[in-house]
Amino acid sequence: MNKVAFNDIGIGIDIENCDYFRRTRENYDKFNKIFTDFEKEYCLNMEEPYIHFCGRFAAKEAAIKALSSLGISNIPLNIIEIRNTQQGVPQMQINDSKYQNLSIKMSISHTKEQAVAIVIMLRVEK
Amino acid sequence: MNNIDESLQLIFSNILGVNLNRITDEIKYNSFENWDSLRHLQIVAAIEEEYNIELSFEDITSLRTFKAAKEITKKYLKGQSL
Repeated sequence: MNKVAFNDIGIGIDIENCDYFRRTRENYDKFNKIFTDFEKEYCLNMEEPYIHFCGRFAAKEAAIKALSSLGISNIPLNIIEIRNTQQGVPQMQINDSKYQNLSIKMSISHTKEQAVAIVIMLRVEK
Repeated sequence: MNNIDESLQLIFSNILGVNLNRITDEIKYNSFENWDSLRHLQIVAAIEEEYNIELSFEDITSLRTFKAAKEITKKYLKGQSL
């Protein structure tokens, strides 16, 4: 296993109340600065879209914190994208070639009221 | 205080859930009561809707005080009138 420099690991965690996303029901076009079209379509196809919007928002905020711990700031939320694998595992990518050297692991959990997410990033040479 | 200042004050007051008189130039993002990242995006969406403008990413990240919100909004409205 290659040695990993501690400074190349970023970590972030976030918790969000889902109330805003519940109240904004059927007005999700307000979310263009937060979510990609793919994410909006995914969430809107779920039985309770607001829970999934909230979970993804928490994950993006956690990602901002992880990036910040790597010294990277001012990233628009809507270039951070979460897609589920066929097995339903959420995976995060940053849609900007500048950040292709980041390996990312994440996890989301939620109730109907709150969502929590954790993101771990590893900066690797490619 | 002019109309733009007052309408921005109302936007902030409604979204942050505090009395109008608490919305002063000095209040800061991530410091003032309730002004967290989600409410920040709600404020941006409300300003854009109210004035039919679209803030750049740089301006969204610069909008970190109420005073900055006023200056940034007025910059866009000045641009519209040219």
